[in-house]
Amino acid sequence: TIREKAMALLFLPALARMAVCGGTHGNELSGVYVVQEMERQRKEKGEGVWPIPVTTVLSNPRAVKECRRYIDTDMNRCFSRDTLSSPITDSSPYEVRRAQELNNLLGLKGSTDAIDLICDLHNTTSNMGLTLILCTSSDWVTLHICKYLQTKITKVPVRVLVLDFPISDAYSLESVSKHGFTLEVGPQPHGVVRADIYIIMKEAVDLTIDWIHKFNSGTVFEGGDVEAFKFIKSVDYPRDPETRTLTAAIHPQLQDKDFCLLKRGDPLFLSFSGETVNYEEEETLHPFFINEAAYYEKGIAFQLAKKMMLTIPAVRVQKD
Amino acid sequence: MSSRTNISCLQEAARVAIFGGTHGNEMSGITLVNMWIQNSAEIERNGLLIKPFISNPRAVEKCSRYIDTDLNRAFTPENLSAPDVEGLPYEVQRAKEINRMFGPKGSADAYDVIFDLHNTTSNMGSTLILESSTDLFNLQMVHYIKKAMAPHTCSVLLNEHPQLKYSTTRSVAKHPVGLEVGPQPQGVLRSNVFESMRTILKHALDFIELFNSGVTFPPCTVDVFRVQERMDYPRDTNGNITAMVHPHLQDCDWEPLNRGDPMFLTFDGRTVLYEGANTVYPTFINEAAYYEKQQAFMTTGREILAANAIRKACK
Repeated sequence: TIREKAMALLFLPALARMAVCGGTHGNELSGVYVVQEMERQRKEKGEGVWPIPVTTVLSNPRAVKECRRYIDTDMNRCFSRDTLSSPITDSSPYEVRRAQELNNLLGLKGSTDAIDLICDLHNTTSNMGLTLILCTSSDWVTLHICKYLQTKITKVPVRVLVLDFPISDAYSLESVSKHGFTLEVGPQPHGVVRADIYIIMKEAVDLTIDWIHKFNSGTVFEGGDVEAFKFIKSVDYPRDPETRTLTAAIHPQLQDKDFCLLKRGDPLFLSFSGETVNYEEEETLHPFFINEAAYYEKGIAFQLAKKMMLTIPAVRVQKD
Repeated sequence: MSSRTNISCLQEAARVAIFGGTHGNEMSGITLVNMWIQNSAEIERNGLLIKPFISNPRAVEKCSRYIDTDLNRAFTPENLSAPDVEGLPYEVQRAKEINRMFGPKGSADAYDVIFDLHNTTSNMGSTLILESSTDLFNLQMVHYIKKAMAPHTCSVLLNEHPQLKYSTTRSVAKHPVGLEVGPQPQGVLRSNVFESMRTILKHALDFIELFNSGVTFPPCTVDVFRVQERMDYPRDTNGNITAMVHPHLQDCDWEPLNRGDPMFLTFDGRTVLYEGANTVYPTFINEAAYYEKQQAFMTTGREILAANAIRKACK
């Protein structure tokens, strides 16, 4: 209501420093090259190249060198409290060691010393355009950044995906900082850098820096409604019961249709023997991460989300 | 040239192999071959021995292109004659084994035809790859396939270049044919790509069955793209790429590239133009596996190859 909007101006602390992380998965190349380019700009123009302090990080350098998703284990599952506090031995996976290093650099997770914002750069083979992935639906800073990016970026669809993990369960890199989100851009094959995808990701990073600068400088960002997709569940491929090998592929009518409306009776899979498997549930949901290469080994053909509206208050930086 | 009496009599193609998983993350071929190993009904043809085969099982298991070295470059004379010692790269051992099973390469005992199934991240559509401009059997086969697939386009890539030609897995056979279908990311199975590859093979096997049954195929011509040059990315002194395939070139496989056309875009936004004197037809544009082989794309020239009529030789 108008009364609610007039009352709800939230004062939040300034964001002193942000981190841009690329190569958390070593074969997701846009982020690798965005970080590389930012580091080149910093070398050329000095620390003042951006209006706010920015730390650039290549999260998984060994995986980047080998152009693989990971060396021993998926780095983006290594930031739970348990993994971050586990003792390191000779047999510890490389990514666990590195996660603890990153926690020291950008954290400590949960402490007041943690960096203010992590922007973690990822690519997907799915046709997800620019998807901003948030662990929580109640962080006004990241939701305002999402709203800002949605207004400013028009070349591709910009969507907000909320995972709604309890904060204590979060295991991804962006849970190390006070505020965090993942910039997921696709479709791009792993091991490939496409200029159009790189440009979108670079623009999104630049706009994020821009928002923080404006926010820190006292701009009032008006509240309002942000459309978001809330993760509900994952769906696996049809598999042979004994060998667990795939017996079907994503149906051509579902392929590349991330965030479409999936209704009962819509095709999901086309088996190798020509049968169509349909969506049989009553609830209309939205599929995403449709045919992501890295998710075959996780038993995920696609995931489903429910569309919802999040109402966010106006925000302004708190002056000391 | 009169073609009324000019019919080349060729040996029957009795033994055919279909290789999937030469690269362990190119999923269409892996899926098709595994399916056909379980149930070969779809690929059976009269009088024909057809063997579906996973060429690099360890790489398939790992879903990676290769274990130690690229199998599809491993069929060199040096590798094939290397003694059986410990410490040979996995793919060299595998190449020797494949040469024993389906070769020996260059001998009369080699398999007649090997179809090697590949995917690419490049927007090449359905592509057939030939290694010789004078293999009449292969020319007639690709002509048949192209006609059968129409209006779906099948491009033909000819790699007969003395330096750029490489020792492929399929080169063990008398008539090697590469099937390359894209775009498809590594590790991903796209239904449309899978079905295209399946259909190409169906027509190929139909051709072989017809040929073996004694059908005469009249003279024909085949439009091909002949490999000319490999173009690398601009790189810095450390070997890192400093630019990406330009958005105007990305996904434009088989389309003409002229002098002055955009070719690369640097990470800080500068355009690098194509400076070659002649129009070329790029292919394998932005293939993931070729970054490490120093290749952003390959240039080709258009050519029309002529093939005599062919018929199975009478015994």
